[in-house]
Amino acid sequence: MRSNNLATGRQMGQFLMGMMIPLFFVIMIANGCLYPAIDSTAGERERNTWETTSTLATRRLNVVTAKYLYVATMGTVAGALNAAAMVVSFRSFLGPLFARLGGGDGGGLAFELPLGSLPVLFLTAVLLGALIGAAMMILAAFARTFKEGQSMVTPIILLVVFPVIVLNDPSMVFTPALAGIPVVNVVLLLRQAIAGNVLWLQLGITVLANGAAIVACLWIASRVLRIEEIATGSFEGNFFQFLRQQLRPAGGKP
Amino acid sequence: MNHRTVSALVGNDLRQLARNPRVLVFAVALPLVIWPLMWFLTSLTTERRQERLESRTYMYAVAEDPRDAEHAADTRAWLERALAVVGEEAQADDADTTDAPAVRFERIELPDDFEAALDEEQLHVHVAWEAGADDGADENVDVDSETLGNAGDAAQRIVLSYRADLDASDAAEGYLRRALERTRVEVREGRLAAAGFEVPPEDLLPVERIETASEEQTSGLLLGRILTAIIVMMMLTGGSIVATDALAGEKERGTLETLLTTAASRIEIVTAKNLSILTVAFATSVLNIANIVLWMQLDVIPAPAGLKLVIPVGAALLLLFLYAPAAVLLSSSLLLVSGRSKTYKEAQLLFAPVMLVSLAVAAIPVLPGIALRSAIVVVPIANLGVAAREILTGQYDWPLIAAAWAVTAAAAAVLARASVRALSAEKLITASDIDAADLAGGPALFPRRVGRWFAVLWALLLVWQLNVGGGIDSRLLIVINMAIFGAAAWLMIARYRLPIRETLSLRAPPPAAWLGVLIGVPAGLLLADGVVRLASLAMPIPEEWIEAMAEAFGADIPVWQMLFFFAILPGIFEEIAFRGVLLHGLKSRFRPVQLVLVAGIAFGFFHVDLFRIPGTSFLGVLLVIAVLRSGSIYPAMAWHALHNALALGSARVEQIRLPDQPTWWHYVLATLAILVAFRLMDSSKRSYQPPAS
Amino acid sequence: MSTVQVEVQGLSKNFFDQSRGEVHAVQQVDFECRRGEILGLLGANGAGKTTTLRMISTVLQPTSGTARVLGHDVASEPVEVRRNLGFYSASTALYPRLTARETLTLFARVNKYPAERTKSRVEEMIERFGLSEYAGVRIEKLSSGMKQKVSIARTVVHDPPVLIFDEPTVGLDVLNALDLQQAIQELREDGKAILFSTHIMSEAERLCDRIAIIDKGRIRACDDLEGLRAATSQHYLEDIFVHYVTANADS
Repeated sequence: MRSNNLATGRQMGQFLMGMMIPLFFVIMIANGCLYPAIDSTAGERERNTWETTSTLATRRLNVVTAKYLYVATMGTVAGALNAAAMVVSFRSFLGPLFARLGGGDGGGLAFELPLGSLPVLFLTAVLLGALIGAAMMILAAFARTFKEGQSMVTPIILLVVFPVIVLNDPSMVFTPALAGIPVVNVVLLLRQAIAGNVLWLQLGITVLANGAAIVACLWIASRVLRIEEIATGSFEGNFFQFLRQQLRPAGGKP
Repeated sequence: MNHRTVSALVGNDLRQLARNPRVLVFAVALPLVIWPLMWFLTSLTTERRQERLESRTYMYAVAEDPRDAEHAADTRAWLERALAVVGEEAQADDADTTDAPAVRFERIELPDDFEAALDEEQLHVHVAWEAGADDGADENVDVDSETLGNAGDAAQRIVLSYRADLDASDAAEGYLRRALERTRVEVREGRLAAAGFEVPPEDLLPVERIETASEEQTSGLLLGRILTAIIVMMMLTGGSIVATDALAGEKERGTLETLLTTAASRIEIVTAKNLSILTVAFATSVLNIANIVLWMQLDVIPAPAGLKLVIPVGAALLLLFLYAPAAVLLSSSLLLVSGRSKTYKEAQLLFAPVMLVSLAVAAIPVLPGIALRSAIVVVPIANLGVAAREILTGQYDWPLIAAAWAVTAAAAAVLARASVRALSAEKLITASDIDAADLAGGPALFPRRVGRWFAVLWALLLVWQLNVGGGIDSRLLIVINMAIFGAAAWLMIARYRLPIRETLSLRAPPPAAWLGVLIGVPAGLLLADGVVRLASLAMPIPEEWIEAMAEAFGADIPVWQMLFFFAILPGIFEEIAFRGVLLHGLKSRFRPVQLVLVAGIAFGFFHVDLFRIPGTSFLGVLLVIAVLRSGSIYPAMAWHALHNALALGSARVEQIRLPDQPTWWHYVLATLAILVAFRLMDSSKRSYQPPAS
Repeated sequence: MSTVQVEVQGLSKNFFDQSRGEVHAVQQVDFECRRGEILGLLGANGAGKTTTLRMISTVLQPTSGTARVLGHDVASEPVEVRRNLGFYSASTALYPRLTARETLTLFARVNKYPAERTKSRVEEMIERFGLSEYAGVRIEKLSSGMKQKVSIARTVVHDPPVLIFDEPTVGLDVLNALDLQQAIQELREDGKAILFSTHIMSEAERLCDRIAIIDKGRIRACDDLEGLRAATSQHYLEDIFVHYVTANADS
């Protein structure tokens, strides 16, 4: 008896990359957003540059938009660079290392991203950067010091990383329903794209779902920043106290 | 050392921690929830995946081979038997659920193009027979099916074709292969019985694999492989809670200076900090393990299979003793990082590489085939990990266990001393984060950034050579490398607005310097050759590389091109990058001897291959001295180009060979010649003034 | 002379800075400080005051020269030196999560104050600096004035004969600064030898028995106020200071 694997080295390489890259991609985008998100809010307060910035001759909305774009861009760039770095390191180190394992065609493992996956990779990097960046900035806005910012943003990291690790299951079928769950859909979409399939319906739903989440986060952020105390950094409390304050019956609002 | 002082300091650290709700929540409480939750969810996912795989129907197709009807019938019977029991093992796993889904296999018509059908997942496994007897000739034979053997029914064998990158196909192949393996014995027995053997087959040919390792040894091996990594991980995550705050946090808050002006000695402070880190790391590890065990007891999360191991008390105590220096080593390295950072933030950033390196080292015992009785014994932590693995499988290699312990303990002592020194390093205590150079930017900032630039350049070059390097024409490779160096040099000069003349030492050398070059080149080549010979004792040069080089410098390139690409281009561009920009950046940071060594060796490291580094570093050192002595880059350029040309010549022209068996007086003469050459280069108007001591 | 508690001779300190190269922060500094005396180090920012005091407190190692505290050399007996020394500066902070009482106990123990007398000494300090009401409150919750008192108590809790105050009034408001000066004067009356650095003329004038004018790492003059006036024929300390600093800028 013998088993005969008909997958080519290229297909095996894509399979392995499909398992690994989306996972690290999401984690790296979250990491890429983390530092700028904290630094541009809590960090500014800690350095006492927040007041300088808010006295600039521009609307506060512009300042916040600029900061947000900075955070989202950093996340996107971090994700894209890491994906590139992973492909490079797969090719330089893993490829030669596992050359003998290879695919059924007798060739070694080949790590080549299909061209069609590159736009998907870029699109998802932008979506995730924008989403995670927005979510982090909401929470980081409440922090007064860098350290505080870190502990406030940690839940977002967990929220993002958890499903990604838990759902790292190759048998999962990427249904349109799953495409409705932000972050998770990105992982599944990417896995398919790396294997060479672009699922247009799921892609559309993914964009819509993440877009909706981004809009929701930005809406919350704009509400949060409209409140004087938070904008000036004199708010003494965290996100949950803020929620309680907001949800208190009318009259409790500042 | 005064234990009262130390205990007061440890008590203070622990009290600070206990009163810090943020750290308690995020570093202690959260992990207690997250790890079991993660474990639970992962096992849930695995279970669901299992269910999904078991409950689906797999399509298979059989390619009939009419050539050998008699044996084909046997094999077909085997396949049918296997299909009847396929998936039984899966049901046996969750015997408590009566309605466990069954794995179903459905036969479909053999498609015209079964590979296309596999690709479209209309077909999951393709079954065919082929004539046996050529066992192992095929390179695609799966290792385990090969070792299980099929000597009895050599006439025919079953070939399962599938796609390992498609989940369903991969699973189908797994189920079918295991069923075939299980039924093979049965089929063989049936055939024996048919042939007239009445003896109960289990008495006759027990084909069960004989497991030479006891169950303890197997699970000991399993535990031994991962134990070190787990302990290191826990130590680091637990220890870093205190470590970030220990020195970096105290520095940031200004309490470190208070502490340093008290009568507590540096050693007492470092000891106290190490004790605090160890205490917290130990406490959190115990807490986490207890927590996991609790959830396992409550059956919320499954215990890993095969981990039913009772470690004998003696071995457990030995392990504890073994891990002690590893724990101290880890806490000292955390402390050192903390001590060398100015702020809490910086410490956190620096912890990541420490974690990665420690985990990489701690994961070495996972690799099979590494015995303690090897070079691994000199790698701290990894040696103890391998020792622990051997102890858990019942091997006690006492002298090497002792050596491993001593090596790790020595490393811990060195690091602990280094953290004591970090407390006395005045730069770290006094210098502020930002000073005039940061604000002014430009040339003043360059010395501080030059290291970063060249590190990035090195990484770029490494990636580029690893990915593309081997495949292209060596002339093109050289041109691209030189373009990278040139572009990087230009970028740095432009970015920091460096004065070009001074940066690149573009001034006329004393005329005698040219004579110096002529004398220095052959002597330098001889000495560099000696260095390479010396280094090759430790690191033999691989044959393939010599062949590749011979090919690269093969005869099909005309001599003038050879000289242009391999002598003149490097002579210009490498000198601009290394003896120009790099040397200029490093000048103000090092004293002369250090400067020469650092700039020279950095040059060597850019010759990516390990065994080229010693020789090129040596050349780098000579060229740096040439620039510093003459105050000009031109002699170094000439030297470099001539050196390369002469090296090429010695490889290709019979008349200019290096002595095959150089003797000591060759080297003495060469050294004297080099000294004369440097003497000749001496310029009174040299620009370089070493920093006063 | 048994009353000389701090003795500094030819003390120098060179730094090697990556961007500035060799920096001579302190050059050939000599002075001494006696029991019950406040010696002021007066100089502009960056003149070398802090570096000098850090060398005496053994945080930094001198490049050359010696400093002795009660006869103990800073290079060879650093622990003995620090045991006899209390160091206070704007940058020596307190642990925010300890209470005042815990802080004092910690520093008494770390400074190797006799164990059996630690408790009574801590209570005595709490009494003396008027901390009784707040002794059980965490320092992070105290006002800056209270923090400053705890800080002084922390400096003297192990009863050191020598005290160093390095720019102690930086960042304090007027009332707190006056309180601090008051406390320092009381400590002088207790017979401590006190080194006090400042760049504020009025403070030096009011507090110090003798003043050392330090500029670019060198001591330009060291005498009591009358002596300085006589030597420069100027009346105000500002003018005296300017006299010495400009005289050397010319040369």
